[in-house]
Amino acid sequence: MKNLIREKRKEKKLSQEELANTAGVTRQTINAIENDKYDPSLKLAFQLAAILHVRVDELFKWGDVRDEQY
Amino acid sequence: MSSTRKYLIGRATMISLLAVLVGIWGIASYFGKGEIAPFLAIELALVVVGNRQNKKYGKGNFLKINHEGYSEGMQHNDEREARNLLNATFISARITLLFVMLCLTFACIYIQNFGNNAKLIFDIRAFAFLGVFTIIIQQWSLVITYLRFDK
Repeated sequence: MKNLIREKRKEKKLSQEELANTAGVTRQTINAIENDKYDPSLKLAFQLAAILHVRVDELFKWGDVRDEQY
Repeated sequence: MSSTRKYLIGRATMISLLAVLVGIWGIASYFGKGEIAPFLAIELALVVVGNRQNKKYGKGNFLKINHEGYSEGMQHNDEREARNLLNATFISARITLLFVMLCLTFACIYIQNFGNNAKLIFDIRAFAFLGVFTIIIQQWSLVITYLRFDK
């Protein structure tokens, strides 16, 4: 699963630490999600989408679609 | 947020110390110098320190399940750590099982080659040492696997 968390986070001028604190997870978890090493649960995915003011389906994409979609 | 890595390493060290102490006590008893009082005192002190550490990390009853669906005794900060911990626990259980199976296999081979000696089969010290090593291997395989997942 691919995601645009890094891009959206930078748009909002948030650091990994700030995003992690707002979502109630560790900075390492945000880093792992951004580097496609960990797929978050639905709950965390919705939380991150709400914090970054985007829809979940805008933030996460199934498969390697980052380049063609965005 | 507390450091799960630090907690796991601390707990493994504490449990290993307890296990080694039991082992030393066993050896001392074998040579007729196994005074029970000092060993019990040290073990009790370690248990008290361990419990304080658990309270510091906000750990509850390990038999109870919290609202996230994980055991209250499982130290973690978020879902990724919980998942890593579950995977590490599974792998360490397999490593421990492998170790115990190997020990039992070697014991069987030894008994078969060196005679069916009842004294060998029921040697309580051998069982005690197997227990000590099993605990140490279980704890440190959990720590090493978790640290590898958490990289």
